[in-house]
Amino acid sequence: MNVRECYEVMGGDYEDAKSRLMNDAMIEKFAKKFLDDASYCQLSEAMENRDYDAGFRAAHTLKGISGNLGFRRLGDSVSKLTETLRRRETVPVDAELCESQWKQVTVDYNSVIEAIKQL
Amino acid sequence: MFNQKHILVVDDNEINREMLEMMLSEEYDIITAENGQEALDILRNSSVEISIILLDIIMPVMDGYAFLDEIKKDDELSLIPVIVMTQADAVEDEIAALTHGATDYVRKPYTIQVVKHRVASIINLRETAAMVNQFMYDRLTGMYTKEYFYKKVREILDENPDTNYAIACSNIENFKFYNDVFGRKTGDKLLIEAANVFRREAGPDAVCCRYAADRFLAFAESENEETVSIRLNNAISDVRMELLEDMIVDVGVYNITDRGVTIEQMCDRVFLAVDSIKGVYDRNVVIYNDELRNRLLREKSITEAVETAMEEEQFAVYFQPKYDLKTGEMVGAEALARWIHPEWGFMSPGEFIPLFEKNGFIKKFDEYIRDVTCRKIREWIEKGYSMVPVSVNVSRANVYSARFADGFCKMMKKYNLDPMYLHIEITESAYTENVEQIVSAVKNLRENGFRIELDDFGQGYSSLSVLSEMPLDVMKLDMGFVRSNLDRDDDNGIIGDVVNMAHRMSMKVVAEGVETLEQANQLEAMGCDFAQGYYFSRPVSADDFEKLLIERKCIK
Repeated sequence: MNVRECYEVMGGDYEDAKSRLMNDAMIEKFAKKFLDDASYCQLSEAMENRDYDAGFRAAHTLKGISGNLGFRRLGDSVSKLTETLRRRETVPVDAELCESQWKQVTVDYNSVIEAIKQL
Repeated sequence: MFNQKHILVVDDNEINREMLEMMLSEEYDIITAENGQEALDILRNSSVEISIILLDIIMPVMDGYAFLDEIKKDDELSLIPVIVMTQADAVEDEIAALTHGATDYVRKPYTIQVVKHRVASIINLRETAAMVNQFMYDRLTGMYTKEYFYKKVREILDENPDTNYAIACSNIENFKFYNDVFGRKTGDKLLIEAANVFRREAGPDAVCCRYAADRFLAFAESENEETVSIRLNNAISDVRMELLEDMIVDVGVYNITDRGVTIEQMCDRVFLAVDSIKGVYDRNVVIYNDELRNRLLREKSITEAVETAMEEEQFAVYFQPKYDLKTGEMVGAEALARWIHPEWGFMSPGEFIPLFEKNGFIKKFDEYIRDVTCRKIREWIEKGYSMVPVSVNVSRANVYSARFADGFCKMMKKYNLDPMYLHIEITESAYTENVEQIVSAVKNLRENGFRIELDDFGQGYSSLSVLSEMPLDVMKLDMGFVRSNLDRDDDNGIIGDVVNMAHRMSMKVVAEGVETLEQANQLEAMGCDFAQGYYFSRPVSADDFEKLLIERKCIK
């Protein structure tokens, strides 16, 4: 699988990634770094503990990385979760909404990981 | 690469850090930190100069806001621009970052051109501002520069129309000497010390600047003059104790009474004040007042009037005859400058010569007097009188000119004169300043046939080495020296000894300022050769002197 195909499979924006990272080799290099990135694990742990502060930080970071790497679908779902968690200081967190958003993040994350692994 | 600017990237996420590094490492050196605390440690402990900080907001340990708050407290760190990395849909983060002191923000996902441009333009802007900053402070002492001082003083004056203020200026006498003797480095150290003491004594509310070299200015609210004066005096003795005990620091003060003038003009008044006590060793503080101002204005108008005076021939040469004490015969004369101003009338050389020396006009003036004298000598020789040598005074400022002797030789050619007719009077004070140069100048003149008279011997500090080192023909005893010694009763006055010494060195001795027959007799008894003074003749105009020459012809 080449880089463009990989992005198609995961629902990413290949052109966007290329505009930032210049070429396939660089995209691949950064994509593979994402396999070791801790923010998903941190988010996962925080969600399990209902630690919404840590959850927000991790989601925020994951959103940033997704954006920078052009993982559009993952970026969209983690963005929704981030906004839900951001509001935790003003309104009580809607646990149900949170849970469903988190599920979507997990699905999208796994598809990104699977795609990268096939590079 | 050499000279690359350093960027500090602060982000807890490795991918984000590396992405920025990838974008910027071609043009910059990238240093990374994982959180605010780590970034602070780097900033405080590393000697690397960071040009800009790229800061993530959401971080563990110390987040972006806390980091911004920390560096704001540090004078130096707060000068480093910070770009905050935000996310496209979080405007609140951007606003919050800016209110915490961030310079600008860049949104994630990054657009490579935006990141590069924003970093470059902010670094640029900051460096330009830093340059402006350099003009604000004097590099050596850290005081304000005069330009900034002017601006600041103007602001304060405008904002406080009813408060009284004063400007003070300090001046280290002969500072160049310290630089020459101790070297530039020590001189600089001394200046830094002096600046610190000056700043401290001026008080915490004063605005201080280094105006030039060793001149510091302070602007502060003024108390009454006496208090200022006492405080400054104390400050000065402190300065001396702390720096060098024999260092002389003068202070001038101007109480700002006239706000209609520019700050530059106010400073000029302070300088006028402080310069008026330059070389006055028992006075170190002076407050600018109208009397001082008038005196200086008079000096200024004198200085300005010289060109016209020259054109309109207001300067006249008078001649004071010298007589042989034994025979009573006129043996010479001294050419003396007179300035008869159409408005101010007769002006004493004592008033204008020092001013001419100060502004450099003395060179032209000496030449002019010399020229007129030579022209007259030529004229009188033509008329067939038995001419006596005439001596002209040379300002010590001119002795140091490289073409000093040349000027005299040219003059001899111009009027076809034998140098024997022109004696040259050099004051002893010239000798004390630059021995080698004056000795060589005098030797040169004598080789060209001129006679050299040492003027004012006995005035001030007389040096015996001047007599042994300089080839002289005539010693002129200072008027005051002659009078004070003749008034004493003891027969073995010092004048007799000086005369004997001069004779042993093959010099003739002229006594100046002889006013009575008794003095003339005493001087003759002591072996003095010649005399001039009111007893014999006051300085006379060229026409009157011509009459004396005619009489002399008749006597012969």
